[in-house]
Amino acid sequence: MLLGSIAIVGQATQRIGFMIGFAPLGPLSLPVLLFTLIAHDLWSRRRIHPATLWGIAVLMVSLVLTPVVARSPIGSAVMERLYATGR
Amino acid sequence: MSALLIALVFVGFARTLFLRSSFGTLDPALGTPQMPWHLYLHGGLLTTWFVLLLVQTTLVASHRTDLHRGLGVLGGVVAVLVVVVGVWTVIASIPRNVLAGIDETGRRINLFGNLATLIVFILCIGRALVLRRQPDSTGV
Repeated sequence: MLLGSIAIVGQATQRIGFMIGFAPLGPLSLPVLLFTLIAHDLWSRRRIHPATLWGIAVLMVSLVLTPVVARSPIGSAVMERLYATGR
Repeated sequence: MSALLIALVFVGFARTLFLRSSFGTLDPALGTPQMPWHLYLHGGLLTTWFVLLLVQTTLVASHRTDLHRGLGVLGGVVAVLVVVVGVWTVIASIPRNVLAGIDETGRRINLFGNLATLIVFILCIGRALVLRRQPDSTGV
């Protein structure tokens, strides 16, 4: 639940970044929150919780794959299709 | 940590959702103070989600795992609604971003970034729901 929430809080930190004139806050907030979670795990249980490791792995894979898919021909096709749906 | 997340949500969306009339915020696509109703629904569901996160982590911290598990059902329902309305919002945002004057690159980043976020959310929450009967398996 916490990792899913960290995944979706980026829209909020991005807006705060624009509000205070520090646009990198959005992308920087994800690693900062994940390191905070790791530190919390280590402090409270002396090891990183498996759910934390799993969530970090999923987030890292999505960060690598998202720009690749976005720039691909499949990404263009998806965008056109969804644009027609959203109108 | 959950209190920090809810604070980030409130501050981040103060101008465009929570205090939008105080700030006199205009919808970037419509140019009006009102935004489409599905965005209020989207904001309301996500606010519910983050409040639920705070409640759930507080329950675990106070060893009320019975209530925590009971509320987990509600969490599952809210999570499904977050995803359904989230996908709807992402799709509806494409023509809205055109109207708001966002360029092609920006629209792509917005679309695929938001879809990836929703996929990660589904995977994290799905894992937590599948493993919910195993003690100490979800990390909350």
